Amino acid sequence: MAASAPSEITLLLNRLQEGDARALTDLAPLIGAELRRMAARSLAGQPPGHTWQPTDLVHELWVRLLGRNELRFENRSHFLGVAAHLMRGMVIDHARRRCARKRTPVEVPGAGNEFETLLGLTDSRAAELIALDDALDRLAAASPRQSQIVELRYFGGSSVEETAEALGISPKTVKRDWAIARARLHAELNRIGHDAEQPRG
Amino acid sequence: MMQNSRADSVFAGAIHLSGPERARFLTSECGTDEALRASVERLLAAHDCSTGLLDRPLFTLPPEPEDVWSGRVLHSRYRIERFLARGGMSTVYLARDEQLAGKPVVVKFLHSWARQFAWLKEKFRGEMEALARVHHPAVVAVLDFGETADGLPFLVIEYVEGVTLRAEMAESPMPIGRAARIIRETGRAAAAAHATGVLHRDLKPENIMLERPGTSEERVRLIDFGIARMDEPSREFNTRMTQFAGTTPYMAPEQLRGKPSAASDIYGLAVVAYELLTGVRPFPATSPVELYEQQRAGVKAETLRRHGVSEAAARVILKQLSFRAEDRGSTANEAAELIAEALLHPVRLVWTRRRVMTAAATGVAAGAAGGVAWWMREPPLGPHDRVIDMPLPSEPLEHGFQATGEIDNRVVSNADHTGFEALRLISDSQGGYHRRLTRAQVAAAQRLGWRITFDATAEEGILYVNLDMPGTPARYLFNVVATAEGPGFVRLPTAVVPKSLGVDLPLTPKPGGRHRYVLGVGPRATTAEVWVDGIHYYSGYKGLTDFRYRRGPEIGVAAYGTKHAAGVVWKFRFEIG
Repeated sequence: MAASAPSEITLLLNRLQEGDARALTDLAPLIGAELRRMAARSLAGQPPGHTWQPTDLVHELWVRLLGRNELRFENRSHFLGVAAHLMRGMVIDHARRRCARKRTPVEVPGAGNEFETLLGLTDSRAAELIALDDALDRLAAASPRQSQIVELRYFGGSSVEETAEALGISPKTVKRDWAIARARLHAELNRIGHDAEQPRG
Repeated sequence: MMQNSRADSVFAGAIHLSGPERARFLTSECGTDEALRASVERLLAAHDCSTGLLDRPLFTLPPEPEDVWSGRVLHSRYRIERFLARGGMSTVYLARDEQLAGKPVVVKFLHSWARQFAWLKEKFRGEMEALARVHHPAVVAVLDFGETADGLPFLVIEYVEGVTLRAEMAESPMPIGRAARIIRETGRAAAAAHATGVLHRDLKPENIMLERPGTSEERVRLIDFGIARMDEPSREFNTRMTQFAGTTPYMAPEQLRGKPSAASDIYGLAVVAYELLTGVRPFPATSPVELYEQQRAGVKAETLRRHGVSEAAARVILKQLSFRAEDRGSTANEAAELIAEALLHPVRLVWTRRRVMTAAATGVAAGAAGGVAWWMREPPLGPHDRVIDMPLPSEPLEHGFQATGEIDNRVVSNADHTGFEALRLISDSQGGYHRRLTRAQVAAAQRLGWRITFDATAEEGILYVNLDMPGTPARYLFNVVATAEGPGFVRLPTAVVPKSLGVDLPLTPKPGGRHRYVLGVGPRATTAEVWVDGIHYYSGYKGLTDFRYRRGPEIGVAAYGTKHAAGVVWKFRFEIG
């Protein structure tokens, strides 16, 4: 690959930067595949020590893409957002699969059980994550920015500063919105919990 | 939506208030709007009672409980005394070896969650076995390893009495000699580990222990090898930057990409050296991504130079910080040795410059008397003055050479790209490096004869060697001329104006065009002999009298019907007698 030729990922990130939300859909398979390969690799016994934390996965992916000239440094803030979003997708995927497995208890060979261990993905945790995912969708409808902050910080492991940079807002606003989003999600998840405890029918 | 954003801002204003203050604030903000107040109260309640779900990033491993092993005895031998420290992968305890009269030892356990990962345990075991095979005085010794009854791997290592290099660095700037010694010993230790297949992966001042610090018996002990290192405290929100500052700055680019090698340890060692000498790290990044970008952009010698590090030493250190692993030294031992040597012997012939300055200040007007007095102070010719080497691939200017014309150079890596071995001289016109000779050296050279040996190739234009001693009838010029067709030819010019005239000698084709050339004049002789690759090529070269500068031995490049000039030099030596 020529060092100067912009890659597909760069072009898509540029589109995203110009406000083309569909670029995210096109980016997902490109970055997601790499992300999954990395997760699989780090779980398959070649751990550079600690690659299972989302931050490290995201950073590692970034560095790899940079190393292959598929990205430029200026794309970084967008990349963090995209990667966090993909991370969320990957995790929720696993959670849903686990729940599905519970219903039809057939062990899929090599189906990322260690990945689930890393996630601390017990049955109740899987349910919790799916509930969080749903709540996050509802939060996004009311305040897209708050939902993005949660994605970046919780699923992407980004710091306050990185989140601020990725979203083009001040760290102070990130902290404020994070507190609000967190409280909203907790309130929502608690309500779901209470509803579930009430006898039905 | 309106309600939401209003509730948001009231909530954001209230979270940092407590008790009655918060109640007053809510009353004043919400007034009679019961719905708003209820929304805010609900958010505040959710804020105050955390479910733990969002309190740390997903995947963060559960914190390891502190001190679960004290008082227990492992292998009926090691009595765990107390908790020492905890990292991301392991916990460290102080213990006593009851079979060795209660000798203190350190026991390191993999974290309990590691039990779930067969591959992790396997890897830990593999590295411990390898590390146990490393026997080097500067590598902390592995005394034993095993597994607890419930399957947790542990490692028993020597207890090192001393201080960390980090603590010593904080005290005061480290003298260059001491820094050089520490770097050398650390490099040797890392090389010893590499020889058994163990990478350190985390060379940093915290992991370099000094026994008997500051004394003449100071000794380096390298600790914390491999996978069970202590550097990765589990991450919490908002602490990434701090932890980043603690460990990642010492990581090589390929390590950031997840592929550490022995060259990554060399890189880490160079970061330590840089920090030891300047007090700061080469790359001021705040995240791994930023670090990677900075590593790719490279670091300049300025900071090192400002802290009194010679150009040559700075060059060697920066070489080990190369972005590409293959551009660094070939072994940790060699890299450390090069750094230490360059630090310990920065400029061998400082007096050359002082003498030149003296001469300049005396000036022509001062007359012969001043000149005589000056020459009288000349040191007599010792064995050291009979051989002048240009140490390669280092900066000629740092070894008593002076620049001639317009000249620059670049280091050239060896064939398998594991290190540097030569200098490429480049110029857009003409230039090179020369060494002045003392009058005693000139006299000895005329009496005993002299010889210039150089391994080189001309890549573009001409690569030349020149010797023009005061009191001789001519200067001797040796040109290796690059041609488009092949390795070129040797020209021994007899005149350069109005046009270049001289003897042209063909060169046998050779891959890379590298040859060993020798130009020499016998005792009390005035004509030169030429050898190429050990074969006697020519005798009776009388030299030329155009453009005399009375310079000592010189090597350089000149554009000759070309836009630029370039040549590679592997060796350059001037010998008297």
